[in-house]
Amino acid sequence: MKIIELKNVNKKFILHNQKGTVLKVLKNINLEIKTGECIALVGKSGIGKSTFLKMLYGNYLPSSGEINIYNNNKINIANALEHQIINLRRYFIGYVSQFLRVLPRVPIIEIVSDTLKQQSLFDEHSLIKIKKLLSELNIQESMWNLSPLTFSGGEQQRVNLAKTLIGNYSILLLDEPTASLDDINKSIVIDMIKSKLKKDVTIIVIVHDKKIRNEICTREINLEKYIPNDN
Amino acid sequence: MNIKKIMHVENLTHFYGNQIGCKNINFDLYKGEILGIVGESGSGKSTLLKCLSGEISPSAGKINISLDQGGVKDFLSLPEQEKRHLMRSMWGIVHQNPRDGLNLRISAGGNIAERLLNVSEKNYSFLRNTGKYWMKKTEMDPDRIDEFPLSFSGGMQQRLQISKILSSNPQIVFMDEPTGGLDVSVQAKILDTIKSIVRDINVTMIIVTHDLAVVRFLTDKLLVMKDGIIVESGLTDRVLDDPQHSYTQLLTSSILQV
Repeated sequence: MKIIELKNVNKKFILHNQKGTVLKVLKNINLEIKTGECIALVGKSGIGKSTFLKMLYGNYLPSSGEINIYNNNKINIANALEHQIINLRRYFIGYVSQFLRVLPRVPIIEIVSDTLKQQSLFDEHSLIKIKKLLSELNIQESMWNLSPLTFSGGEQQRVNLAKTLIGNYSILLLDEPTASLDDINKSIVIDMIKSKLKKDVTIIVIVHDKKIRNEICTREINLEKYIPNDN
Repeated sequence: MNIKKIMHVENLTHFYGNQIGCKNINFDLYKGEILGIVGESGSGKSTLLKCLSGEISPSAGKINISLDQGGVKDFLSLPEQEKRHLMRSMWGIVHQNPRDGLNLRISAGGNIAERLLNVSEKNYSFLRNTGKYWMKKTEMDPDRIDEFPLSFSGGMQQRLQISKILSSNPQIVFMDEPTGGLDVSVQAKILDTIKSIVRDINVTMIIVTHDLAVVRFLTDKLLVMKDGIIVESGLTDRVLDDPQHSYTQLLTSSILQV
């Protein structure tokens, strides 16, 4: 069953205050993604992999085309109302960015709880579940009640993953989820991604390590073929 | 999923003499949404807020509101008395300067009770308990319920004003630069408080500010104004991360990094 569909998607950036420079990034993307697939986005740095993910999340606006998400009904992210996108993000699509973005002074345990609260899934068992996840990700118990903003890059990335992986999403967009992790933590995260796939979650991931791609991904999409040729 | 449209604004325009305040404003607001209005000073954002909240009568346009009771109403053509009643009971306006929203001659508790009295709540101990409850909720010391607003710091006064407005369970809250005159640490705490309360009680809110960090933190969607008109609108993080209009690009690229 298709869950994501891109139709004639184009993306360019017009930098009005920098002499009107036009950056054409991606052109004529037509593709379908089915439930339970794990797609790797590949292509050299700067080709538009993160831009692609951000368009799927509604964070970047396609210059033209449709991005249809099939929930119970079809929602075109490119022209949906704000509350429809907010609702999709709350219950349906999770996104792990490259960098953790959280409020100052909010402790880890609350950051992770918040995902469940937003999904109305927070109950008396939730804290145990959250603590288990944090332990599995090797985030020390002494840090759970601290804000992660001053932590190392790898620790922040694991908090960022915990925040999204705790949720019950049907689609996960992961932007280099293992980039700043050591080998042990890498394989832990890979196992977590695998268990999400077993639950039929659809995953679109940017990951440079070919070995990891071979281990988890069912298909690669090379963005080279969407480079505008008149650039 | 069907979320109710609570406000529909059409071609709203206000002139000060020949001077444009705001022009051809169109947007919809749904229940539980938090809308930010940003723009430089003079862009018309406060004028727009005042038109929406009923503080000034716009020169032209339409505002349809649909509250929990009473179906869709054409706000601007309501009789003055009904307008006042709506504003007192269904609206809440949080002013930039808390002293504009507080009655300085009565106690903190009296200020909170005042709005509840307006909606015909008369039980003394209920009023007092509600006052204490809201002071606690906005992280004030409930033992100070009998003190007068002027004995509070600026940040505390702002908390008191927010308590006063939210205690009467308004359906739409209007905020004009709610953290404008406060220093950074107080500002962060108040934003924290507003955010957690808003999630608890699912209130619909319109916030005017020039602070893009406040907007990213609090709002779901955004109107960017310049010279009285909306130049860009959309999901807050979309507008800030992928701005389309040259003015929005200028605005987002002008933030100094700490």
